[in-house]
Amino acid sequence: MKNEKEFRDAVYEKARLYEKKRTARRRRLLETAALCSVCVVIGLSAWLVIPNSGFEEDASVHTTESKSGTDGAENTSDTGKFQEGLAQSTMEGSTYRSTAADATYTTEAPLFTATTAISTTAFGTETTNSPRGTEFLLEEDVPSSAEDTVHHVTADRSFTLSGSIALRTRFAVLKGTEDLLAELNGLGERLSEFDRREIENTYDDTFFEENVLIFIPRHMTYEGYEVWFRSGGASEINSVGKELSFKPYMLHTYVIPRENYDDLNHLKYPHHP
Amino acid sequence: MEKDLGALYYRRFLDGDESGIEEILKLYHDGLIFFINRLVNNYATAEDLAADTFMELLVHKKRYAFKSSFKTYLFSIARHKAIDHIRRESRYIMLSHDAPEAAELADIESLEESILKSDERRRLRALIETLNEDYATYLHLFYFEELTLDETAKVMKKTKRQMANIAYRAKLALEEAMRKEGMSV
Repeated sequence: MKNEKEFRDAVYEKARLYEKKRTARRRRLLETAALCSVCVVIGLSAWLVIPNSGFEEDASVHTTESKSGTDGAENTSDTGKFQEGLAQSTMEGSTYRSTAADATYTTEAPLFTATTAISTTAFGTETTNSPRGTEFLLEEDVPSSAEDTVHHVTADRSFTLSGSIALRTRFAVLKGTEDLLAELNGLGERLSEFDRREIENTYDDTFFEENVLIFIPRHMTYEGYEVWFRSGGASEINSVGKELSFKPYMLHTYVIPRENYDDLNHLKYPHHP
Repeated sequence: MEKDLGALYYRRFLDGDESGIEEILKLYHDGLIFFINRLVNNYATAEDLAADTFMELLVHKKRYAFKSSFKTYLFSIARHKAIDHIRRESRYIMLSHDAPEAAELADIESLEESILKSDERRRLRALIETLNEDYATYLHLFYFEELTLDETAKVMKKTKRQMANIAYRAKLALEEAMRKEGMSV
């Protein structure tokens, strides 16, 4: 028989354990609901955007070319398909594929508005000690002439970014290890096993408690894009736009502390005049 | 109307005064374990289930709407917990013939001492235990916890009409049992 104090302590301990389980259960439910919502949104978007042929040119955000060497061939990759949140494992390999050496882009408004903004104080420059920026190679076949193509995008706001940086074709905002795994699964064999393990080991649950991870695959055919955003953002993109002559596709990872994430403005793909 | 002390203490607790829950524990500890023990026939289990019952007050603060008496609310939870336990354990204590161990016996006797207080009440309790489950539960709540018919109906999840029938038959059965024991009715 417990005495008064022991019984009271037992009651409070039971309450504490119950609350702990309840919090964990709610978090799992929220995560599942978020995943389901994103799946539905992306599925609907894909259904609306992708025609029967499987490639969508006019759904892309386009830029104008500033160099010659183009002959009007369409780039049929998913350029400019910004997707906020998870990269779906159902996304095809062609997402990252450029099927034409040269691309012509029309000046169309972006179809997607990401709800994450990334501000930078060192945009376009590669810092020597950039612990938050990482590159990973993605295997991809890109015709060599693509390397000669440079695209410049002009933002219609006044922020000017120095240096040349990669144009995003898509990016993913990863808020947890489940997001990360889904994104890695989507990349499939194009990411080496070694790199995959390194990513998984680096960005674990502890990391995600305090940070959000941005995945940006960078296509060599694009250079020099500008992003406009609200000033005051404290996150940095440290390693962007490194020219590579023989590796056509890189996956960049960027870390944003969670405390800054929610304060950032919408990221909008630049408009062309 | 008699003051519902339990409701007063719980209101204090909800308003941020932890001493409210302490008072509730003191007020209902013995009676609740006694009630649950009658259902599960195991003191340690009854004590644990009583702790689970009080825990509900801490984690589900919005459930009690202050419409019924606090005791009714508390004993409803306790009965629910006990029945869940019985279902899980797949045995019904009224049919159980397990003898309690010595230490447990001492606990039960100590509890009964504080609740029953007199030989007469002890004999009454012993007689009640010979009756069927619904009668015994009603009589326990009526005699030892002093709940009204309505309150007992809420605890036992019966309609008022059902409870009235049970109450009538339970009292008849108890009277019969008391006559057989030579007790004055």
